[in-house]
Amino acid sequence: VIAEAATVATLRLSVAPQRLLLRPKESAVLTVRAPAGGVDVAVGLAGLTLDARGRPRVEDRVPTWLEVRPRRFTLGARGTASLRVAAAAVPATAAAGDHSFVVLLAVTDRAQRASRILARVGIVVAVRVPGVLRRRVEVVRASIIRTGRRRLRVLIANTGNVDAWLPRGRVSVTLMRRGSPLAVLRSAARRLLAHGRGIIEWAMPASAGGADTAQVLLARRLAYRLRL
Amino acid sequence: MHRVVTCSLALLAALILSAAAPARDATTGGLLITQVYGGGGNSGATYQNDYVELLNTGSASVDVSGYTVQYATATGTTWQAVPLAGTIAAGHFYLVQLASGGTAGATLPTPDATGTTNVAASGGKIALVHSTTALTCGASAGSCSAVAVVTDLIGYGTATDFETTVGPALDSTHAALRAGGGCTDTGDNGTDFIAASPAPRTSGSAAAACSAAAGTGSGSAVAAVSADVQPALTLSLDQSALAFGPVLTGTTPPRIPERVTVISNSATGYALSVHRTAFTPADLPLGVAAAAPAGAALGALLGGGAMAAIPVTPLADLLVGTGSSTTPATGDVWSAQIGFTGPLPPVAPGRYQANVVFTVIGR
Repeated sequence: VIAEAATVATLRLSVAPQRLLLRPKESAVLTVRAPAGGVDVAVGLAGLTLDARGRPRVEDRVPTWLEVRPRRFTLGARGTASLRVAAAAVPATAAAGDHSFVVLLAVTDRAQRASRILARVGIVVAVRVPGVLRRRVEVVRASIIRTGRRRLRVLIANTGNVDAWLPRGRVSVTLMRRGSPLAVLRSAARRLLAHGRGIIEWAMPASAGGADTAQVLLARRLAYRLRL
Repeated sequence: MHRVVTCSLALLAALILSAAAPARDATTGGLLITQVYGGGGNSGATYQNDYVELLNTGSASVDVSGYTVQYATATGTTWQAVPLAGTIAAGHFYLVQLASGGTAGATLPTPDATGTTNVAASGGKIALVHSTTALTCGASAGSCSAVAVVTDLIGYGTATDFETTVGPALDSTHAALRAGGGCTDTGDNGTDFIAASPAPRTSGSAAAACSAAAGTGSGSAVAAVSADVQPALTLSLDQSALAFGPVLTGTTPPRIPERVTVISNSATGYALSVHRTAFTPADLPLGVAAAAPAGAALGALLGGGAMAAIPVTPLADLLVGTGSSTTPATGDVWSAQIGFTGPLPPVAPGRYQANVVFTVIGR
């Protein structure tokens, strides 16, 4: 088995802004830069979901409501290109709220090789369909995971129809012992798409257990209580 | 969506701070524990000695004479103190070399101080103390933080005392690294520290790029200047092609290194993933291994240096890892290795080709 010989080259692609919010028929411009130059850029469109821990997943087979021009271009050394992204194909029956897609810019060097490594930058585009917009995030439940090291798991849900950004500490857990706080656990920052669910987990302090309780707070308000 | 940086506000804030707040204590301000490694010399160790790394995040040099780095076991309250000497320049690191558990591992860079404390590899407590007297705290969470001379504390693994939540468990190849290149300090060991490959820095290393501390200059005229700084995302690969050269079936060719760099000025972070096309004319078991940069989290399938199969499109990407904050200016560097997950199957001779795609998406 022989793999092909390679020419080593650096691939580098910058795109700004990192995220877009469009309403139907609106458009915006992405600026694309390739400092090393000499690259071909191919533009793709896909759906976007987040897994339970907030990590993006590209859904290649989801039809998108976006139009992007140009779809393919070449950047010279230190070259910059502008890309127009439009929410041009929003169905008339689309439900109110946010619908997430991703514009994928894939860069390859211009040498014609069959085996290549490609760098791809994904820009998330949320299309906000007008109507009644609801912003609501809830704590669904909390539980203790006892396999391996004990962890405290909180299930949260965005029951609204607008994407929610939860800054660090928006969800917190206060571990209580006989009415006094033992430790405070704070969530990392994350996004929760409209109608999405997510999991937040913390390793339990070894000293917590027995008659201790966990108070789950959402935006500093008590949302769930759990006996450890 | 656009972040507006208004320099006039920043300057005004600096003026208010210098006028209304006491000056930062130049003898204690900004000293942090930024790395702890306890696996020194143990079997499979990365380095031959345990160590503690400090960083001066303040804006002035700090004389550390009179300071000690102290250690207690995970559940203990008996502390061993290592005295420090000299000064740490603003933005610079300070390496304290400690004992060795054997002969395995590389030699540390020339340390700034040395001690004989033998630090536990998996769990324990390390304190930076502005006193030479050994501590007696540590039986319960928060007990050492209440001691006035404790400048910084990390409890890791199964430690009984820590800041807010306990830091990660460590081993011979993992140190506790403070996120943000050593700059993140939220007062929560579980959030501020991650377990990652040890990377000790000394006073001779490049300075950290933490945000500037409160200024000490005098007032001056204010000029309003503003700029819209766009959140941008950059992905860089060191190699644009793979070449394993002539290889034999039944053998596992050596891995090829690939450095993947992500630069983002957005605090929302990013996710880095990889997929590939199938080899033609027949598929081969291509995989990837990676090490996460400080402050980033490695994908679950790549933990412990494991090589995971790269999914073939249209399967979902393999998550290489995530960044959860703004990257350093030089970017988060993911040291990846591309290779085969096992011996090559008995396929026909010929040239086999596939494409590998690294994808970064802002969170």
